Amino acid sequence: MSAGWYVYAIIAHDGVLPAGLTGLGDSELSTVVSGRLAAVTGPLTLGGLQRTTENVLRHGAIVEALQQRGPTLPVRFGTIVPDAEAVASALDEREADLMADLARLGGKVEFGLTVLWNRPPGNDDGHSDGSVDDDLTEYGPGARYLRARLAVSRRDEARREVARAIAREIDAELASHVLDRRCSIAPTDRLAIRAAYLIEPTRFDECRHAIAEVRRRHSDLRVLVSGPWSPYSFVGRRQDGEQDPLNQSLNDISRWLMSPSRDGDRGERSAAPARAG
Amino acid sequence: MSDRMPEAREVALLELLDRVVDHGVVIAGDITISVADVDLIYLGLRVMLTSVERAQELRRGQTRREARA
Repeated sequence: MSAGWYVYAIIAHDGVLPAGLTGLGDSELSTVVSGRLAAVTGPLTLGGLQRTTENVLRHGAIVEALQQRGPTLPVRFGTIVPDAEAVASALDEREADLMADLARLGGKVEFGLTVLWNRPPGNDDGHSDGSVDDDLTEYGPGARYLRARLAVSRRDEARREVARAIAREIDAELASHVLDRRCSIAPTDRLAIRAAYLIEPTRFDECRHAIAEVRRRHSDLRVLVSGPWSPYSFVGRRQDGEQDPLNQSLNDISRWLMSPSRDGDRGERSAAPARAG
Repeated sequence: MSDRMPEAREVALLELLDRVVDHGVVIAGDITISVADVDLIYLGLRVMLTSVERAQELRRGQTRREARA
């Protein structure tokens, strides 16, 4: 009994499925065409989708096999629609956006960059950088709490500042190779940077070499590269704009403009990557 | 190259799982099944990175002890 249609990816209406490629549970793959687009789908039996590592990897492998054949947009794991008509109507509703994404991303890949602190800055003695030196015993508990929070906040900001500088350095190193990037600055205490870079598939080795240069300059960091992957991180609208170094720089400038005591130019330039080719 | 170290391979696996589960085109968003344990992957990533960190510290500590010996 079919419980719905599982959607793996979106390709052009005249895209061809690789011979012998099967879906989750060895189901047969087919395309549902709507206008200039086609969804690669397969029937799903009741209880057929479990979010096991194996199924997630299988989904990833199917997307990758499709991408070897032609422009492909990866669909998020777990997308199930009731029938072929619903697939077609979903494509139809978003045709303009999906066509734009397919043209922009279809033949591209992304790689992941994870930068870890060996020792997070400002973590040496628990209250360095943003420390508040006053004797806290003279304050009430509320004030002590707020001053402790202030110290942590200053330390975090100092840490983000270091991470932003590293992100700019990496962006500059990669500028001639990458088409776009998504970047989170200091998303956790352990992580300095988590980023994804959109590239032409042929540029991956050059990017790895460029990052190896950065790695050599920073023995205080661990710089891990993963991929290349299908461009999962770049489909649809960007969602991490506020964490992007470029936007962060704009925020910094806004803060400077709002600051009552601005008395000099400390504007920060962002090294947004140039478009390749 | 550190990319080839076992922990780097583990991170790469988590990076792929994270992408496939939490990124990509969302069509028919209202019908997309909700995956209750999505956060586990993030949690897994953090635990993993923390454990990588810890393993490195232990390794450095051991190297220092060996250097002193």
